[in-house]
Amino acid sequence: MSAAHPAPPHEDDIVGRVYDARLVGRLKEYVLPETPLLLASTALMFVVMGAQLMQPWIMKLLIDEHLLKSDAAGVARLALLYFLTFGVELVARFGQLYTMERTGQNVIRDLRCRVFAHLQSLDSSFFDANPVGRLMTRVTTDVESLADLFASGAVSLLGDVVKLCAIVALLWWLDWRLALVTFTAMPVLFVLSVMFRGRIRQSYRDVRRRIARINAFLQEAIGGMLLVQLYRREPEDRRDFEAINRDHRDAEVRSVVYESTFSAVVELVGILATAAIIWYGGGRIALGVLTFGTLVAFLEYTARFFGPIRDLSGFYAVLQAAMASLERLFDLLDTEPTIVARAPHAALAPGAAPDAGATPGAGPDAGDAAGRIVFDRVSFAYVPGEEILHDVSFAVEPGMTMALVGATGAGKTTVIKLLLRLYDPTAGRILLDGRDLKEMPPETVRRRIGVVMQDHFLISGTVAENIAFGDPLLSRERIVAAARQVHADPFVRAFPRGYDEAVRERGGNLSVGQKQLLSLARAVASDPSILILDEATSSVDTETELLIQDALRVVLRGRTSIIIAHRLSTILAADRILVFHHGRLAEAGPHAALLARGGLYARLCELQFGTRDAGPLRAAADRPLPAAEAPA
Amino acid sequence: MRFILRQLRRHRRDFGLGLLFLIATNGLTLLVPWILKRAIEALKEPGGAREASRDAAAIALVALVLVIVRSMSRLYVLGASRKVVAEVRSALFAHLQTLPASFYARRRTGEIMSRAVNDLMLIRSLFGPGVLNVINVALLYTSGLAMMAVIDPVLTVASVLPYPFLLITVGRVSRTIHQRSNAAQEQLAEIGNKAQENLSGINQVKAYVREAAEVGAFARLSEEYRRRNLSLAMSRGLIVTLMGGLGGISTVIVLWLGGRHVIDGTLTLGGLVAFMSYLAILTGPTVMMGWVLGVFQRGLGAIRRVEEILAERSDLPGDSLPGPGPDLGGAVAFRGLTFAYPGGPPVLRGVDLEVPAGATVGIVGRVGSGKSTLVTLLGAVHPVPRGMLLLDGHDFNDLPTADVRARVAIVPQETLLFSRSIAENIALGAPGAPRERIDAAARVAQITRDLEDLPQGLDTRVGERGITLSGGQRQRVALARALLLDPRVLVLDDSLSSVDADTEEAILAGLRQFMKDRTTFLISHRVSTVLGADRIVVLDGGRVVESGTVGELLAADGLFAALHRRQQIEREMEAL
Repeated sequence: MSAAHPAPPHEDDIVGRVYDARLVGRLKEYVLPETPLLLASTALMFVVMGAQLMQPWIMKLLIDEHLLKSDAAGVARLALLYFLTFGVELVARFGQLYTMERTGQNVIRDLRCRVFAHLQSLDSSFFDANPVGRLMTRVTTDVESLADLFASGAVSLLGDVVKLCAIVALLWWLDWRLALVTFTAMPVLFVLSVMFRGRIRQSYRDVRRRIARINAFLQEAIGGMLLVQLYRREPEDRRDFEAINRDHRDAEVRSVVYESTFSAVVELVGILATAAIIWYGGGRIALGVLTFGTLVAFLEYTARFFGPIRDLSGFYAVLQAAMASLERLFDLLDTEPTIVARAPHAALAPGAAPDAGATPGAGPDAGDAAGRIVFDRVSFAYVPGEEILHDVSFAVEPGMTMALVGATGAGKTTVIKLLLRLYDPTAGRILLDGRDLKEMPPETVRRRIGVVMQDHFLISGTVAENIAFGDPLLSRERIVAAARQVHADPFVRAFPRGYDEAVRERGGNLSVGQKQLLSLARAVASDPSILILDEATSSVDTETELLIQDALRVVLRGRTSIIIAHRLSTILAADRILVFHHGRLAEAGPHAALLARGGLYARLCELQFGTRDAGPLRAAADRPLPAAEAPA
Repeated sequence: MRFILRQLRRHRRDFGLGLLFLIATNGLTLLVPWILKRAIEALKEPGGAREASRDAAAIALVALVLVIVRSMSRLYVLGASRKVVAEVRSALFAHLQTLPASFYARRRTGEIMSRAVNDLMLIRSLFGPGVLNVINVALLYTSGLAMMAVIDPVLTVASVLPYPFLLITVGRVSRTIHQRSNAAQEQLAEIGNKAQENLSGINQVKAYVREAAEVGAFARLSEEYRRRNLSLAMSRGLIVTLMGGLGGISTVIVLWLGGRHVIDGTLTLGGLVAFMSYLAILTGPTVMMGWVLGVFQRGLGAIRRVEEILAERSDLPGDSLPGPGPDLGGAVAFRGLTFAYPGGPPVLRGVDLEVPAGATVGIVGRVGSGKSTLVTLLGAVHPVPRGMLLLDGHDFNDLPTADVRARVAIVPQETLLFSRSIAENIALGAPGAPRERIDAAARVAQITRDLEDLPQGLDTRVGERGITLSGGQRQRVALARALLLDPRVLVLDDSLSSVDADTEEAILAGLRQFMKDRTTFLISHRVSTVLGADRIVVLDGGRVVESGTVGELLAADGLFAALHRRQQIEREMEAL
């Protein structure tokens, strides 16, 4: 079962543009609530910048007004002032870094929770098509690459640009002729950086693409290593790997060439500016139109000018990674669930018979209704064209226990999934107390049903939390009562911490039987009117088996129940039995009648219990079925 | 450490040249303030403008040489680090290929991937920017301080006074940073675990309408992660601030004390400006020290983890035997074979089975009865006690692994196709096999007709553009793969389970010729598959419980007979 939501084949290889206005626009929604923090960060950034820009100026004053006039006290005063600006710069910088980090962390926390919450709302078919591993990447790695974006300073990038402009303006104001000469090399830098930027970007992209190939290759090669060894393909695989590894190395070396050359060129232009200042400024000092202080200030300002330019190129890689992640995250957030409540007047599926023993129309309100279930000509396909259920109709009266039997793949589990509204039928309808499931919000449907599935899903938490799985606010008394009802209470009390005993990952510290009993306790904890049970095929010891059987007897009493039965005792206790065969409802009726018919059910019984006789069958009722050996 | 250090040594020429260029780079960098000093001193004299413009020309010249030398130093060191890492990655992969099944049972694919990708990235940072920066700092400090001392020794001592304090603080705070960063990483792992747990049980979560509670729990984990990250940001910010602050104190000392020296006449204005420049050159790398420390910590950890894998050795005796050994026939003998996976209970107990060359053995039994393990051992993937498993009369412990695998072709239960063309998948064990042989194998495996529906037939790539093969088709490709090996022993480990019964019959009929002079083991949950075998073995709980011809076993009316009956009923049911 797959492909209801086909994923693009190489989704994880998206390399991404460096900047995508649409994506950034959507990110705004998450950033806007952090406006106060952002404003504070921006304000602090200006304080940092102001302090930084004041420092060369103070130096100029120190030299011109005091040092060259041999005023030692004035020198000390200005040195102190310099220190003060330094202190202000540092405190403000700390504040700026911290507020920025805080903004980023808030944004990614919200985004992460949003993505997780959205995943909770998506259809089961979505999860059929998307492996858990990939979805986990969305909640972890993809969100993290946004954190890098904030930490590396989207705001300081803006700050850098403002700072560059401010320095140019200041130098112009100090001595526009010298400023002109200082910046003669700037157009060269500009042309070079435009030339290099494209190459650097391309080389980063190459590196990313090739590391993705290495990843894909390794994933497959390591996962299939034993097969490769059995078929002695190691040399060929090694040769292939070396080729893509070499490719990656070459791309990396290329990016080193561009990066090193670029940063060296920026430095060159910086030092050339120093030379220009000495050459032209020196002449102007000789003419007496320039002071030593201004010359030093020029040198200091230009030193502060070229640092940020060098940092800019490193920012690309971070930005590119963040854009690719954002794209994947928003794609996920754009996936809409289809299992939602629909208006009651929604048309019936074409071809659906209006009545199959059902009484449609306005049924009683959900809350305390009896729990009458009707399948009305239901068909279903996980993948369009591959129908799993064909035209299935049956009714389960309130309080009745219905057993579903059939070979693996006959469609029993699908019936349960449809009843839980994990999927909607492709044709036909399902009625709960007279109301079409499609008209009810899925939560309303599910709240009325207690479920025990085959794979006893336990969360890492305490025993009590696992019983209160469906209702975290359940009182301790009701948790204990539920456990007592299904005979789980004694073994839970035997734990050192009783109900507060931690359940290890996937219930590692519990036996199979204990897991079954806990799942049963969970299903009845909120006292649902309907109970769905997919009986476990795994065998447990005789004592536990008896406990489970007795617990079942208790919890089935007074509830509408549908059971995928693997135990003979369960089948015998059922009011009616539905026999599924290749997605169709083949036979229906009580055990004795079906057996007497000598059809599918009789053969199934023989298959599962080794006899067609009713006599030994009853005797066999106390032992569990052997593990299913039916064809897959 | 050994392997990676050896690999480093291979590139000592590049690292050495890089070091030379780095020395030149630093020398030239330190030359610029010195020329600046001369220029400013000249300008103080009347008519010094000429001299100053000569100095300016000198600076420009230095800059031009510098751009080349600096590029070269980075190219050599960073380039060498990339090459070393690529070589280590190749070696790591080659080593992984030699590791046995027990290794892959212990380590998850994701973990191994993380060694080969993430850890190598950390090692790259260590040998690239890490080494570059450490050498840079060392060179700058020694030569920079020397230059400063030449200009004004007293000022030099005064300006570096805060440095010891700085180093102690950096050390202390970076320990805190290390702890906090670990705490944040652990919380991220918690988030991952929660997502994993939730997403793998999503249907239960939905069935119990537990979405809100799950979102709440997830939000609490995310909030804790945010909190830990912020406390990490706090200490990171602290270290940046402290270091900047100490750098500021130095600058102020130089301005104040240096200013007095200028007024006293013991220092020139040019000397002061040059001194300030040197100080600025020193503070840059100092601020980087915290980062470099982290790179070293993480890089050394990564080296340890990678070396740990490189130190793993195969536990198969046959892997260390020189090949090729004797030419092997297809007779197989299990003699009281008892086998357990490492740390587990015995899966096979005292299995006795003599299979003459060319015979066909059918093996049946419940899930978990040990059938798969029994035949998988024939692929020499697990060490087996001496004397218990023989191929053509030779103990498995005396046969080179490659020889065994050349003679035994196993089609495993789980079909694995690689994302290459179908032809390449079939030729997995016989690269370069002529097209006719691939075609012939495909024909025997009954996959030829299915290939006609694919856009490029045998050359269609598996898994590309949504082209997927059905389970049955995949199994038939895997079968063709084994046939192409031309083995002495063929093992089909329930490898036709997804193929429909009619096609299976056709395949078996086509295989009959192939199986005639080859030893064949057929495992199947379908009794019909093994009916044509010379001998049937029934396993239960790791023991042989029944063994004989089909007629004998049916007459004995045991497990096999029961299974046979069940499947007949199933056929009847299918017909209904």
